[in-house]
Amino acid sequence: METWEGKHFSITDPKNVNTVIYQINKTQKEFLENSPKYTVERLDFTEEIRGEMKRKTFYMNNPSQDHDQLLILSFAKERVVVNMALLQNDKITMSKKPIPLKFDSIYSEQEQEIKDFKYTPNLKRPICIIDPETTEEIEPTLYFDEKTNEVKGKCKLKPYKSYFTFEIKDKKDD
Amino acid sequence: MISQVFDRNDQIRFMNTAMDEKGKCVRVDAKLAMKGHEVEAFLDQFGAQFPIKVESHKVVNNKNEAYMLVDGKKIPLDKEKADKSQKAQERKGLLNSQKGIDRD
Repeated sequence: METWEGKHFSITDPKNVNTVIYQINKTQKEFLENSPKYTVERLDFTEEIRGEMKRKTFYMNNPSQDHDQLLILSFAKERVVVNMALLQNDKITMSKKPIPLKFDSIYSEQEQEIKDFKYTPNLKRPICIIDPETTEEIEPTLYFDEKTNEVKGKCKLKPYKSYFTFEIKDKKDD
Repeated sequence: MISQVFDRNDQIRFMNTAMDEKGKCVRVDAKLAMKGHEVEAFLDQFGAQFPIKVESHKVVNNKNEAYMLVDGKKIPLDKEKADKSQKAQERKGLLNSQKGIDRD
């Protein structure tokens, strides 16, 4: 049996707001050749309904000894608030200025058809795509393209709908 | 410190992704997606949630199952995810190996 210490904390989501949290992991030097510099890990959570609010407890099962960085995304109808935080010494310090984004929606009442969004994944540059309505990640299906001799990815995206995507990078890597 | 890793749009790049009417994937830069007064109104909804208190729990990874022990309650974990966390914890030197019968 292997055991270790995890961390957990709770936040309350107001009505019609759905928060998801990612832990940002910096890849150790010895693995950098084949891995991206940063990877993200979505935190599991349990939730408890309190009137019109939801109290969510997030579990971090791979904490570091000193500190960990978190990306907090609060989705609401057509909007998301991006918050950054630092977990250190059993407390979470939030960034003072969250970044609010509004989706430039091209919503339509017309019948929708799911279309494939094809791309060539760069394993050194992972990009996370989230459906803001469900807050679920859109996972790509990987396939081998014999014509180009490359592994390619296919995501099913609905037309006339907004998705939220992000990647973690260093300023100097641009 | 947080500012060393995060620097707003410079370090976390986020985009609105949408499909246009021809089915082409469109990415909209975050800065372009912000809209003045609506943004402020939305921020009001998120006041006074912080600071956040962090507590500890035990993570157990057995051969056949993985779980967390939170306030005496056993919460099951995805085994594959727990194996991955175990490897990472091992690399960080934070793992406690226990031989014998699992009593939890």
